[in-house]
This record gives sequence, structure tokens and C-alpha cells, in this order.
Amino acid sequence: MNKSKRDWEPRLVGFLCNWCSYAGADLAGTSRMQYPPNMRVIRVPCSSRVRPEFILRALQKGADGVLVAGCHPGDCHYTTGNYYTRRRFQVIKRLLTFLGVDPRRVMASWISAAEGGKYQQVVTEFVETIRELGPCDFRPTNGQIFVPAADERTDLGVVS
Amino acid sequence: MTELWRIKKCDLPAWLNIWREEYELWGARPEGPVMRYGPVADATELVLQVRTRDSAKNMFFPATETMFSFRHDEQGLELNQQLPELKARLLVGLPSCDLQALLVMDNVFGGGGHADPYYSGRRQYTVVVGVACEPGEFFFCQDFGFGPDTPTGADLFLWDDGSNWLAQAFSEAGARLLQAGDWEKVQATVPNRSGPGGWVSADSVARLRERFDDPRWERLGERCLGCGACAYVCPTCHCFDIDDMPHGLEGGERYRRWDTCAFAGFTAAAGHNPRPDQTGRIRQRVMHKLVYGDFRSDRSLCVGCGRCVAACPAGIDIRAIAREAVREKKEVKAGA
Amino acid sequence: MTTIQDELRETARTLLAEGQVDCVLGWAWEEELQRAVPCFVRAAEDAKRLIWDERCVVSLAPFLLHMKRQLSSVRTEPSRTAIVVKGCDARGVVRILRDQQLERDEVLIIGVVCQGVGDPDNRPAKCRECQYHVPPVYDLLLGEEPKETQTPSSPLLERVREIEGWDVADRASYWREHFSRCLRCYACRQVCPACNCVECIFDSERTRWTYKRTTAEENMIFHAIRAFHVAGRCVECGECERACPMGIPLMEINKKVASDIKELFSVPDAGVDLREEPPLVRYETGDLDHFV
Repeated sequence: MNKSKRDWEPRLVGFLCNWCSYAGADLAGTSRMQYPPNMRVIRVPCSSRVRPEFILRALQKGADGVLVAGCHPGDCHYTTGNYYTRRRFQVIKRLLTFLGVDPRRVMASWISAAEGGKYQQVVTEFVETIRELGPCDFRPTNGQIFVPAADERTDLGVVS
Repeated sequence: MTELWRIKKCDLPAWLNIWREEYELWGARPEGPVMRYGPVADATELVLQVRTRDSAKNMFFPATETMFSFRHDEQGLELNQQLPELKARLLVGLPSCDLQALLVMDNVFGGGGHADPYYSGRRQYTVVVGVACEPGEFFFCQDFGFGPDTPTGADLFLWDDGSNWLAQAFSEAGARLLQAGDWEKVQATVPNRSGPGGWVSADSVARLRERFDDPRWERLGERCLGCGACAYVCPTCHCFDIDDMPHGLEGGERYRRWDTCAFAGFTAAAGHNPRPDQTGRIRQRVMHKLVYGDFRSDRSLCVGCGRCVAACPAGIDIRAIAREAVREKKEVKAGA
Repeated sequence: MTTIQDELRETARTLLAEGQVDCVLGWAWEEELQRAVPCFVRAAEDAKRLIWDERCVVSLAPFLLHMKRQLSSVRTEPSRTAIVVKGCDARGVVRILRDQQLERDEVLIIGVVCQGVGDPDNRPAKCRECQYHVPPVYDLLLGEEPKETQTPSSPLLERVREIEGWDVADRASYWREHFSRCLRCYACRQVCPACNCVECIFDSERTRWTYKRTTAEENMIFHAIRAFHVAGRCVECGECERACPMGIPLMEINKKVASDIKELFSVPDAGVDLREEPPLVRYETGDLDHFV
């Protein structure tokens, strides 16, 4: 946490399901809704595709928060995928909380293809939450990570 | 350097603390529920004559270390070697078996004119104070020709003499340490107890060598669950694997980490595994420790510290395997 | 008086002599090690080596799976193995069978009634909260079923609640401290009856989001993922914690997940029923939705 909070911008990763949430994000864009640009979206076929490894890896690689978004229960393109997500996500979130990750850094949401507005709202609120929390310190701290040799490029986290 | 000095046990921490300005002080101390070697702020934290859960090899050959980082962009490829930051360290409290193990490791990483810069750097900057141990469970050092009082490998060695330590230096660095105190020079014979032993013998090693195809290995193979506990607590197991850790699309780091022949993937290459079952893997480990040895120094790779025996979740006992080898019975006994 | 051990030896001898099983997997006492170790008895006359008493701490369930996999690499004809199980070990066998790693008729389960193992004055945590003195699943049962059973308190669960009460930063540093000791020997994984994947994701050459580095963060990821992969399937046998050479309190994590799952999905303990469907591989349309 070398950077002061002022020149720090939250970096979020959003795993959005192809059929609903990604389309919802698209709709927000085509409807010209304004929301903070801090979320990097990764499109997944279904919210149940998101393995817990993905969430952990995102946090470790420099994400300050992770959103998993899928279709509303009952609307899954694959009929039942998000029901599994729902069970798994509750368990993984509680587990990560137990292991010392702030629960507010990991969230799930159901966003349909028609809910551009909801996407806008979820992302805006999530960015604000993370901005208040500050940078995630679940990152390598032991100095063994890449040491930039000549210049000062330090952006080694999520590909931007 | 043949002089023997008497140091009151109660004076030891204060004397070691004198050297803190020059050295980082390392030794055994509790880490959570287990004893391990690590840095201490004050010599009073050191625990002497205790068997640590794992060995001191982590100090010289860490379980994971970055070798270099790399970055690739329009300007080309940039490599940046990451040698360890070298700090002078004073490592206090190694028992004779861990000293012997250091000699083995020195040969592996520094022998034959090819010094591993990561290991050797740390090793050269470390002064080692050995302490005679109180043999406990599972020790079998005497089988390898030394006992709890053998100082070989130390810069300075401390023998237990009741309320005193008897100290003798074996190197310039060790002698220099002693100069910081006003010690009494004594004429005495240092203890030379023999350690526990009676498991591994020249005979059992020779028999093991002949018995590569003994069916008893299969009995071990079905008990060995294939974890690396034995190898990772072993003071001389030195295998490692090299892997890349990417950071984004443009760079990353190359690191090495411990690996062991007990793992199924250890020998896998290009889709083929020449050692397909656990029988072959446990045999490899036992053979490497007891039979194959270090071809450069003819030294046994096992030093009889007994840590693997204590750590094995399946209760596999390398001592019993050696003892079993000299028995003619076809079926293996439980535990062998 | 006939002890359970006598009965066990006689049962094993008969099973082997009659050719009902090829092997009896039980415990034998290793004098020099001062430990009860897994013992594979293949001849009727060796049945006398088997022991049963409170020294039999090790769970044999993972050895059953390991042995069968070892044998399947050299032998093709089916074989039947008898395994001696305490209540907790039986749940491990159920795990392996339910995960379809072995066929039911490959295994003959000899249950023993158990009143706790290890040092009587310092029993393992699992024994202090044991509800399965009688194995929930068995083919043969040795010993008398206890008359009354009471649900004991769980010191481990109390510990979990205590940790949950800490500040998130304190929890992070608590686990960082423990995980920084992890050497990645994978003993926890190898002794786990629920970790029965033929190839572990951490051993896979193809996935590039798991690493074997031993930094505290990577170790945390390893342990978090392992706990999640056995979530709802962990039978709480405590073998991972027993096997860990670095003394990491892994059961605190497993207990946390197990108690969460019971609370969230109202499911019975894992590994007590051969027909069970692990809670994370099924769903109810009415599952809680409040977290979204």
C-alpha cells in the first residue's frame, strides 16, 4: 500500500455470464448510461463457470474486488447453472471471509440482459464500496515479485 | 584453534547478542505449534538442543525462490537476475546431523566447480554454531559414522558440560566469535558419546542395492501415499523444479521450488511417466538416501536425523526398511 | 473375555481363509515407531498381526483408495478388500465409494465400535465431538453398540466461532502466519479421502491459475481452494491436520465450511449415507438468495 488513497483507483474484475449479465452491461453501454470505468469485464459462458480459483487469482493479481454476475435464478441459459453458482458462491464467500478477505470485496449479482440500469447501479456502488475500503492487501508482499529494473513501471497486475 | 573454552550456559545469550550488530541471528524457535529455524531478535529466544520439525535447508535453499524476472515488449526481452540479498547470518544450534547435512548440500550446490549462486551466496555469508544434541526419538546418526558430539561442519561447536558449554572453533570465523568473550581456557577432553543406531549398516546398504526388484517394494508402494512430507523435512533432499509465474502479458518471473521423487508428477515428461507407480517412487527415495548417495563425495545422503520417520503420515520408517533388507523373509513385516 | 481385537483377528482369518477377500486392511503395532501403522494382511495366518485399540489413530480409508489405484496399474482382475474402520474412517470409505472411485463390491467394511483414539487424556478434537462411535455404514460390526448416545459439544466449532468473531485483519494475519509455514508437501491432500481426484488441479500442467510457490499468498490460495474442493464432502476425519508436518490447523477451515454448509442448506453430515448427494453438486430452487 505505497500509493496514497488519493492517486489510487479501485480495480475491479467482473465475471459476467454471456447470456444475461454481459448483455446487460452491453445494454448499459448502448443506452449511454454512465458508470465508473474501474471494472474489467471477463465474459464467461455461465456464472457457474467461475471457479473459486478465478476469484482468488484475481484478488492476488491486483484486483481490489471481484463481481460474479449471472442470470436471475430460473433464467439460466443452461437451465440450472446459476443455482449451482448460488450455492457455491455463498460457501466461497464465507470461506474467504474466514480466511481474512473482507467480504465486501467479493460480490455476486443477478443481472439480466434487460437490466442495463441495474448493471450501472451495481458497478457504481461496488466501485464506491471498494474506494472506501482501499486497496486489497491480498498480494505478494515479500519482495519476491517482479522487480522492475530500469524504469518505474509497476502496473503488473490485471492486464489493462 | 584447538583450544577449548568454557562458557557458562547463562552467559551464552549475552555473548551471542554482542554479534547482532554484525550478524542476523538465526536458530531454532517456535513457529506456531512447531519448532523451526528462523531469525530471532534476541538470543534469549533461541531454543537449543531441540529437534526442529524441518531442517535448516530452508535457510540456504528456500522452498520457493525467484531466480530472475523477465519482461518482453517492443524493445525486446529484458532479464533481471534476482540474487538473494546477502546478509551475514549467525546460525546457532545445529545438531551434528544437520551439520553433516550441510556438507552434503555444499557438495550438491557447490561441488564440482559449479557453484549455485543462490545457495552458495547464502552459505558463504553464514557462520554456523553447532551444539551437541540430546538424542531423541527416531535418531540413528551413529549408523552414518558420527554421533551427537561430532563437530564436523561447524565453525564453532558447543559441547554440553552440565552448567557450561565447552566451545571449540573450527574456522577463522568461529575463532573470531569467541574473541568477544572473556572465557576460561580449559584442558579437557570433549564428550564423544555414540548416538543411537543399529539400523543402517554396510550390509543392509549392499543388500538394498541388490534388491531393486524385491517384491517388498510393492508392499511399501501401497502404503506410501505420495506426499512430500519426508522429503520436505529432510535436511539433504535437494530436488527442485523450475516454473514461470506470469505477471500480465508482458513479463513474469522464473522461480524454483522444492520437488520430490515421491510426487507422481516428478518424473513425468512429454506425456510419459517412466516411474508410473508409487512403488518406484518410494524405492527411489529410499535408494537415493541410503544407497546411491552423493557420487561426488561418497557421502551418504541420509544423516539419520529421523525427521522423515516422524513426519510420515503412513508411518513408513526408513530405518526399518534398512533393517528389513538384511532379513531373508519373503513377506515384509508391518512397518518395514 | 473376547475382545474386539480377538474378534477382528478371527474375522480377518476367516475372510482370508475362505477367499472372501484378497486382503484385509487393518492396523498393526510398530514397536520401534511406537505407532499403529496401516497393515495389509493377505494370508490367513498373518491375521494375528492385526490390532484394535485406542492406538489406531490413523484412518485407513485413504490407504484403501491408494492401494486399489496402485494395484489397478499392475493387475486387471477385480479384487475385494476388507477394511477395518472406526466411525470416522467409515465416513471416509463412504466418501470414496460415493465419489465412485471404487465399486461397492470391491470393499468389505468391517466396522469397529470406537470410544475414541489417541491419548485418553488428550483425545484428538474429532473424538471429543464424535457422534459416530458406531460406523454409519458397515458390512460387519465388531463390538457392542453403546446404549445411550448424547450429542457432545464441539470444541472445534467453538474455536471456529471465536475466529469468526475476530476483526477481518486479525483473521488475515492469523492465517498468513500459519500459511507461511506451509511447504506444499501435499500431505494434507494425500491423506484426504475427499481429495480423490486422479489428477489434482495443483498438479496439472495445463491450468495456469494455480502455482506451487510457497509464498503465504499462494499457500492461502492452495488451502482455500482445497477447502472449497472438499466443501460438502469433507468427512471431518482430521487426517489432514494430523499429517501436516507444519502443524497448520486445517480442521478449523474444514469445520468452518462444514458448519456453514449445514446451516445454509440443512444437510446431514457428509459421508454417513451411501446415497448422499453432496450439497454443492445439487441445488434447491428455493435456496437462500439474500446475498445477491
